[in-house]
Order: sequence, then structure tokens, then C-alpha cells
Amino acid sequence: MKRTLAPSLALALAALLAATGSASAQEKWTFALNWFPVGDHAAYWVALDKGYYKAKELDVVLENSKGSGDTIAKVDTGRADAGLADAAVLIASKARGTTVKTIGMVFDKTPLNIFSLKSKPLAKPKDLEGATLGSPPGDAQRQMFPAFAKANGIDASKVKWVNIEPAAKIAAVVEKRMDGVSDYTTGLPLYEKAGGKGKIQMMPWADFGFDLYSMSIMASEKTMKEKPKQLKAFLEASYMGWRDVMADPKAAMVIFKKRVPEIDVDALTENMMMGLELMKTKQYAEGGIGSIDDKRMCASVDLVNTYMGLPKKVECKDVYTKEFYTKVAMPTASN
Amino acid sequence: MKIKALIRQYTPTVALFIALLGLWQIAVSIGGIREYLLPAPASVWNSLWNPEVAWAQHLWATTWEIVGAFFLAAIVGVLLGVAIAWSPLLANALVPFLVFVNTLPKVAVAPLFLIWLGYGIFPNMLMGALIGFFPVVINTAVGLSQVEQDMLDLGRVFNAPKWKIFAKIRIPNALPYILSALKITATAAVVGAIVGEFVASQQGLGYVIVTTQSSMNTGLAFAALIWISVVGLVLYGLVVLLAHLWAPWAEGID
Repeated sequence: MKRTLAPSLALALAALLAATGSASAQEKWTFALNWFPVGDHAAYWVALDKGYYKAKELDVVLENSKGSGDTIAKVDTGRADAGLADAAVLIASKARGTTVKTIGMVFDKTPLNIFSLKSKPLAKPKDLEGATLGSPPGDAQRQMFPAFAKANGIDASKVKWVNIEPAAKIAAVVEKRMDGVSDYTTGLPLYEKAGGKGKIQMMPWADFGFDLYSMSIMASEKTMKEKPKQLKAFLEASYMGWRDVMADPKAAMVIFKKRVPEIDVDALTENMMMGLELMKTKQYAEGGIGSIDDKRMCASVDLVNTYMGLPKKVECKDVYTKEFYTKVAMPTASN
Repeated sequence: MKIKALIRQYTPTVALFIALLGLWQIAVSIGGIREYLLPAPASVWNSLWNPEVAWAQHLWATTWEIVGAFFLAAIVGVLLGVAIAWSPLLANALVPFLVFVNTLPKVAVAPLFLIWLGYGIFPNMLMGALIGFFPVVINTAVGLSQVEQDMLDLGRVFNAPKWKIFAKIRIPNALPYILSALKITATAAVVGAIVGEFVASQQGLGYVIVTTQSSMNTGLAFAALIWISVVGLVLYGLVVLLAHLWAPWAEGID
């Protein structure tokens, strides 16, 4: 054992020296994706495939995770350098002592939504009274429901929530085990795949006066302090990936499929297109892809503070930073 | 004298337990491990009695599921075991199928239960039973068939019918085997109930774990884990006690 350890240690040292010594060395960089492959992951595969990361001396590994809680734990403990996480979950995690911060957004408009069947539709907030909704306890829809209910003048106590595993959401609705489930609007194609085209009812919260930041890119304090240059480079390259996805979604899917052969291209293409709908906003057109609006971020923090029952109040300035953001403009010829 | 022996037997257990608790506390307070990753023993202790969680209700739901799963597995397991030992035809038909069912990863089957049966206490009982019934089948069948030839010959000498040989010779012989399998079933029932609650639930200790983990309230998740192990240990203890009372001649047949 010892005999094998010594040379590898020497090698590691040599590698370390080389990394600090020469500018062309590639630095290993782990990015924690929030879930198993979904459409909005295409951008990172595109950036990887086109060598955007490599050009910035980053040897990026994209790693699947199980939700925002998992990615935050990975990034906070240094098992990943950066990751995707729902902003609401991140804000709440700050109250429990994590050091992660949002450094850029993915979706600009909120994808929060409730799916049901057209045969028994939950089309407007009032329909939710008396309904049974399935939702993993961490979903923002569930945590934020009191706020949504208040804004729409419905009685939150008349909604019955059931804990379900994320993977069981689609079946729960399609098989009528529950009246509805909480899920991002972008999930529609997967629900339609199971329940039939035109059979699925959506209730996008954005349509009912609710705004909360959701999917974001985040990093830990340690990464921000020790690898600021790399973090900035990673973020810019990632948004370049997004830019290419916006410019040519079809080509992006070809790359995605090449890199992750298990994916269902049809479902994930639509899934990705719906994600893009949440990004074609004035904010991104003017500020660049993934740019953060201070006022909306602080409003999201207020909502989380008010409704998520945290052990202590979270300050807006502690949850995000624009320090690492580089503007990447939206493609001009975008649809 | 007896007390002294008991003390001698359990001193290492208690010492190890206390040492681990001490190490845990030291690691957390000196190592600066954050609360959401590993809460200190003291904070877990407080969480055990945290009034924000309706512990009684969740304990009740999970205990029901576990006990139900246990009895379901025991009854179905023994019946299947008897069927297999009774008739070679049934054995040929059933055994391959049961082996197949047993090899299915139950965690992967659990979401299907949600589709077929919905959610609630009963589907979770079934899940526990599904995980725990197999050892009972096998041990019952083995116990029923591995009877001393002398005993069977004795029965035959007296012209005893097949059912009587079963009742008077085979079943008493199988009892220690069955009781030993039930110890495994007791722990499997706990696993099943929690697997079920993880997939879909409105109450129960598994529900508490999923709910608290999602908000990174790890202290409460630990507390729920401890309550689960309390339920599991009590059930296990009862089975051991039952074995002791019912088949004292067969101690340590595991």
C-alpha cells in the first residue's frame, strides 16, 4: 500500500506544482447539477462540448444531484465547486448556517406552478380550496403557499398537502391519486408524455401575481474566496452555453444527446424550450443572461423570511453577490 | 451474582455507546461542524422532545405500519411455508416465483405501490410485509421438513394421518426456525414502513425525516431516526421475548 502511495503522492505534488507554475494547466472543477438530466442542463453540456470551459482553463465535471438541498450541501462542504439550486431553498439554508451565495440566475420568471388534469382542472387559485396536492416538502410551492394564498384571497388551510417523492409526481397526477402536484412549468412535456397531449392543466404562479426567484447558480464562500478568478470564468462560460442554446436550441439538443445518450430528446427539447420562455425577459435583454435584479432578490428574501419559519432572519446581502457576474448578451437573432 | 454477570456483559456495550456519544460531541464542538451537517448530541436530544413536531401522532402511524407489516409477513410467510412443505407440487410452483419477488428491489417497487394503492398506512404495511415475508417462508419450510426421521417413523407406526404429523411433530419442530426468521422480519418491517413513507405520506416518522431534511433541519431528522430505532428495538425485543417463552429449548438457533 505504502509503496503505491508514494509515487502517486509525488505525482499529485508534481501536478500541483505544474498547476501553479504554468498557465495552460487545466483546473478540475465540479459543477453540481440539481437533478438527473433535464432540459435546462443542456447549456452546461454545450459549454463543455464547445470548449468554453476549457478555453478558460477549467476541466469541468457535471454531476447529477438530488435536488437543491443536495447541491447546497455538496457545494457548502467542498464536494463541488459550484452548483444549481433553487434560490428559495438557498435563502432558507442560510438561516441554518450554510455559506453559499447565488452568483447568477438561470430562470428570470418564476417557473412555480401546479399541474392537474384537464378533466378535473385546478386552473385558478380558488380551485385549490378543498384539493389534495402532492409535493415534496422542500418545493417552493409548498413552502410559499401561504403567501400565494394571501395574494389571491384564498383559504390556505383548505388545501391538503401530501409528501411525495419528486419521481412520483407525474404518476400521482396522471393516475388521479392526487388532485394536483407542485412542479415547474417546464415539466409540462413530461406530464403530457404520461397523461396525453392537451390533457394537462397548468397554473403558473407568475400568471397570478407571484414572483419569486428560483433556479440559480451558486458557490460557497470558500470557492469565492480561494478561486474567484475561476468562478468568474466558469460563470461566464456557462452563460455562453446558455446563449448558444437560445440561438440554436436544436443544435444544443444534439450536443446534449451526444453527451448524455439516455435522455429522451423529444420530451427534453420541449422541456428546454419552456425554460427558455422564462428567460426571454427585459431583465436579461438589458442586463445580460442570468443577471440579478437586486429589488426582486430582496423581495424573494422577504418572502422566505416571512413564510418559511426559519430559526433566524436572513439578510438580503448575505444571499447573493454580483461580483462574479460577467454580462453575456442574449443572441440578437433569437427567434 | 446474576446482576454482576449482567453488569459484566453489558459494560462494554454501554462504554462503547458513551464513548461514541462523547466523540460525536467533541467532533461537533471542536471540529466546528455545522449544525445542518451533523447536529450535536445535545441538540438531537432536545429535538426528541421538540413540541413543534406531533411526535405522538407520527410514532403512532409508523408503529401501526410496522406492526401491521410484521403480522402480515408472519401470517402470509407461515402459510406459504406450510404450503411449500405440504406439497412438492406447490413447492415447485411457488418457490421460483417467491425468489423472484424477493429479489426485486423494494425501493424501486415503492413508487408503483403509490400508483396502484395510493398512499397511507395500508400501502406502507404491505411494503413492510413484502420486504419481510421471505425469511419466514424459507425458515418455515425448512423447519417443517428437517424433522428427525425417528420422529416421523414413530408417527407412521401409530398410523398418524399427514395433518396430525404436521400438527404434532413438524410444526413444533419448525417453531424455533420461524421465531428466528421473525427477528429478521421485525427489522425488515421497519425498513418497509419508512420506504413507503419516503415515497408518499402525510404522517409518520419517515414523513418527519423527509420534511425536516428538505429544510435542512437535521436535528429533527436525527430525532426521528432515533424514534424509529426505538420502535424497531421494542418490536425486536418482543420477538426475542416471545421466542424465549414459546420455544425456550431452541435458544440461539439463528
